[in-house]
Parts: sequence; structure tokens; C-alpha cells
Amino acid sequence: MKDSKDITLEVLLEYCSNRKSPNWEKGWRLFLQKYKMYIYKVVSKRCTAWNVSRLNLQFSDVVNDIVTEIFILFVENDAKILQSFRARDNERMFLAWLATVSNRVTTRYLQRYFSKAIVDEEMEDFRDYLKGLESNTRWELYETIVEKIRSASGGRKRKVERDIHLFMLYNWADFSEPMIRSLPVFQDLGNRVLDNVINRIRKILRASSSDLV
Amino acid sequence: MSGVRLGQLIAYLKQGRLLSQLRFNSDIEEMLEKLEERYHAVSSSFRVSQKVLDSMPLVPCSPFNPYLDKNEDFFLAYLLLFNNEERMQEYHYLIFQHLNHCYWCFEIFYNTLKDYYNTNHLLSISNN
Repeated sequence: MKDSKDITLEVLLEYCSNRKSPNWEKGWRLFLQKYKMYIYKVVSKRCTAWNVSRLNLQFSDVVNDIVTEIFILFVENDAKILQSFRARDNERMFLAWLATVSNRVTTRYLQRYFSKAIVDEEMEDFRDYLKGLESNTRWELYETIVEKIRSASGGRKRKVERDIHLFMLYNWADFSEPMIRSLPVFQDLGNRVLDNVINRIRKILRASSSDLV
Repeated sequence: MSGVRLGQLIAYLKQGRLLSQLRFNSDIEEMLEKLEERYHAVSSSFRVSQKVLDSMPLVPCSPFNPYLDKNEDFFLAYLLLFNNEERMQEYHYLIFQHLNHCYWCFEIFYNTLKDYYNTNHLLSISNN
């Protein structure tokens, strides 16, 4: 195998994509040498933005878990994901692509924890946690939770949107039941409706986070 | 509206109309007068308040210009005119849908409503 400095990106990706190649193992060793720290930095930055340490998680454990997930993703199916990268003569574009993939895996990993956090009894902690996030991160989290509820909810669209709104007012915005009932649109809400909606959606979110270790 | 937020002002307007003995400093009185003008404009006919609610965007807003930012007409219509009449039912869905899709408007919405509720509550206590 050539000296690492002489190997082009194109050749390196070829080595990594062909498990039967004699250069496969060495190719991956070189890939790790070149890109592992970069991926670590991207993941760490994302975890910092999502305030991981406030989630009662060990920061370094989370970063290590995510980096492992990323490399598993790259290796599996004969490096199908790596093979999908086209601009093999462009190192800069490859780094940008690595950052995009790393950010997506990190976000998906952390979203599983948030789904669990929002249904935990410790809602005070969740709201404190939200305050510590940047607005763009709050936005991402909000969209994720709403989309999870929407995709898992059956029934009439109008009712689903109403239920999502009720749940987010109650859990995200910290509206008490009297506050919700004071809103003109909810003044005739049935006695048990709010409880039923909150419990139903908590079940949905709990189920979606059940694949956590 | 430095220092006084829209939700608070709408609560003052609502309570002020019901309890004429409420008096505020001149800055707030001036803001309330302007707000009351907007209220009369929005409440002048169902078609006007309908137009306010009809203009709810169907897509998420830009974070730099959310639809509900400083939108006095919307909050006046929603808090003081909105009710459970059948013809309003359609707008419930439009509002739910937009707020569920647009985090920026949702944030403005719940902060304004909290201010409105808390101010109403305080004024009710102090008047009893």
C-alpha cells in the first residue's frame, strides 16, 4: 500500500469499499487516522449545542457512542454510504459531507433521549433544559417532537393537530390546565379530554424512545 | 411598547373596558388608546376578523420575520373576539396547524398568552 500521504481520497474510498480487497483493513486504519478526530470534533460541537450534560448523560460516553454509530454506518453494507459520495477528487467537499452525516447521526441519537425526557416526571428539569438551548436547537427539537407525534397518531387530521397543540402548550410551554381552559378555543374542552390527550401522546413518545439502552 | 408587552396590554384593555376605574401612566394609556383603535377596527365586522385569521400562513415562517411578531390584530382577534361559534371552527384548525409547524410563531404565541393570562389574573385579584 502506498504511503498515507500519497493516497488520494478516491483510492482511499475504494480501499474502504471493497471488503475482499487486501487493502481493506489498512484502508480503514488510514481512514480512522485521517478523519476520526474531525468527526469527534463535529459530534462534540453538536452535543454541546444540545446541552448534553444537562440530560444526566456523560458527555464523553455520548460522544463515543455516536462516533461508533457513525463508523458502523460507514462500514456496513460494504460501505454503501461512503460509495454514495461522488466528488472523490475534492477533499473539502468530503469533509463537508462527513460533517453533514455526523450531524444527522448525532441529532437522531439525541432526539431519542429527548422523546424520553419530555415524558419523564421531571418536567421542571426539561423546561430548565430548554432554556439552556440556543433558539435554533429548540426549533429542531420542537419540530422533531411534533413530527413524531404526528406520524404516530392516527385519526382525523384536525383532531391530531389540536392534540399536538394541547400537548405542546402543556408540556413545552408550561401552561397549567386553568390557563389552557381560559383560552377561547378550549373553553368547552371536556373534563377528561386534556388528561387523555397528554397521556396518549406520552405513550406515543415513550414508545418511540423504547429503543434506548 | 418598551417595558410593557402585548399580552399585558391586551389584558389591561380587556379589564379596562370592564372596570373603568383602572388608570395607568400616560405612556401605557397612549399605547392602550392605539390598541383600542385596532380593536375597534378588527371587531367592526366578522369579515374583518375573518381576514385577520385568513392571513395565517400555511408554511413555517422565517425566524427573522414570524407572522405573529408584533401582530396586534391577530392577538386582539384571538383573545377578545374568538369564540366557539361554528363559523370560527375552521380557524381553530388553521391556527393549530400553523403553530405546530412554526416554532417561531409558537414561541411568540405562548409567551403573549402567558402575559395575558397572568396580567388578567393579577388584575382580577386586585379588583376583588
